[in-house]
Amino acid sequence: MIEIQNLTFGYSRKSPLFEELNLKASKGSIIGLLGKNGAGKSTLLRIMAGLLSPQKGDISIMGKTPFRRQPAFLQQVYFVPEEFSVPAISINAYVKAAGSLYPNFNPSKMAGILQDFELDGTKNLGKMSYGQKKKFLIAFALSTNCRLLILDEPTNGLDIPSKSRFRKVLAGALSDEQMVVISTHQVKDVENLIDRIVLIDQGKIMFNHSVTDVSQNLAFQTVSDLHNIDCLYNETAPGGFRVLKRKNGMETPLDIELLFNAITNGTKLEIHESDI
Amino acid sequence: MAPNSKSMNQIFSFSRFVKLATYYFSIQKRRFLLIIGGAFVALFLFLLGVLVRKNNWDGIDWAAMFYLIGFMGATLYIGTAFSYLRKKETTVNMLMVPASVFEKYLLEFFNRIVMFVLLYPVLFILTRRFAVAVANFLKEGPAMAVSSLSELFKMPSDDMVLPFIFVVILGVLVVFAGTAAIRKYPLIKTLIFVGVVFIACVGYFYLILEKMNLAQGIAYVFESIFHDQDTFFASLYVIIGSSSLLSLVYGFFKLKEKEV
Repeated sequence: MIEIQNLTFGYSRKSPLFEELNLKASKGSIIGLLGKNGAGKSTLLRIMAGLLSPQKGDISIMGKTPFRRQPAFLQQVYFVPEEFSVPAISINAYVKAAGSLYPNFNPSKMAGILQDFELDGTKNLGKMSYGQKKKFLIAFALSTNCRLLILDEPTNGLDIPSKSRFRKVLAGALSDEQMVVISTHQVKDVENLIDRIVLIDQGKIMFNHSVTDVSQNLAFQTVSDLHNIDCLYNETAPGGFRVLKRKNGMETPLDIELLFNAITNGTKLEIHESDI
Repeated sequence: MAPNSKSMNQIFSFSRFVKLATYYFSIQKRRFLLIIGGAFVALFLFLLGVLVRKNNWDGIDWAAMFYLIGFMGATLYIGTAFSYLRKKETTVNMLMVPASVFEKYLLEFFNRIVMFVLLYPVLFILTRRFAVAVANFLKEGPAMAVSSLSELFKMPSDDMVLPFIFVVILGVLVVFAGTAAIRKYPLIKTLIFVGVVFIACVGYFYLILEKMNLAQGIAYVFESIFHDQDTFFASLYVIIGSSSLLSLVYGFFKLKEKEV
């Protein structure tokens, strides 16, 4: 579904943000796009959405070139930016007007998600809080049934119950034909949601593996001391150390934050891809 | 669908255009009502002020007023076209709407140019009637009759009609293209740009032909190129027409290449 080859892009010619970046991803997955501030997560999402044109390289989304912004492409891609603007009209009026532009838009799905998010369709979008507006946009994005959903920091501005509802709604609203790319620096918010981790750093994709492969190859633990521990990476934590080790049988919960810190600190991780 | 009609569908589809227009007018409804209401109030107050002050109502040149106010109104209304391009967030919204760039460009053309041409005369006629009625009520003396519509659209000379239309079309399309191309203060920047280009062209020819007396001066060159008035006007129409078309195409490509 997503094929990026040798992508080069920069806001200034002298210091490119991406150089020869490559990424491949197929449908039916929720990708967590992680990276430090300024790593270029939002820029990469904008390139995927067709809002920015790559300086070099090829990008194909569902076989189409995003920057051509053809209707057939835009009907299948929905982008929720981090900073957004919504018109000052009621949710129902917006849904009626904008929903018709998406051939697979499902009004009953929209009504269900609005209910999950505790949003009233008669309320004016202009009078809602940032978090409510964001929930509305996420609800609308999911109801379009677009094949690719691009969410830039979707949990920013959401309160704690809304974050948990967001995970529940997203997990339940997708089909195998769809793909979601979520960019976030709040990894805890999407930890149990994503099934592929893509980490971008220094203009390149530093890590691109499924959560299953990570869990099969690595173990994450908290230990009181590092004595006799053969770890790949460690960092201090309350009560001792958080360590990242090669897996040797035991099942441990995934700690994306630790994984992220390990990779960005230069730890080389060997992940054997499963055949699936 | 045949490949040709499929690719044509990616450029223009009538049903999609209607959906886009419905969407756009739904989210801009309040803004349109405010613009029309504001224009009515401003025009009414202006006309009322003129009528109340003026003792000789027959001496009012309605046609001049109609064109002058229309020109200023058009500059302001068309100069604020593509308003969504002024903010990053609204630009993202509109660029991501599932319609072609051509449809989005055409929609703004209809909204800003066609709508103005259709609505302005109606607004002026209605407001004038209203202003005259209120002025008659406020002022003592014989009541004023509203002049005929044909008088309103009358040009000082028939020869001026076509050049006037051509110049107005060029002005409108240059401003329209400017709003598609320039993000911040497009109207001001376009007017400055046009002014600079005009002064540079006139200044250049004046300098090389008149000051340096090349080719025996402007008058000689002018007469040798344009033998008669018809040739002059035909050339003028070709230049203005092609510049207008070029502006329209330029605006389209600037929208197509817009990045955010």
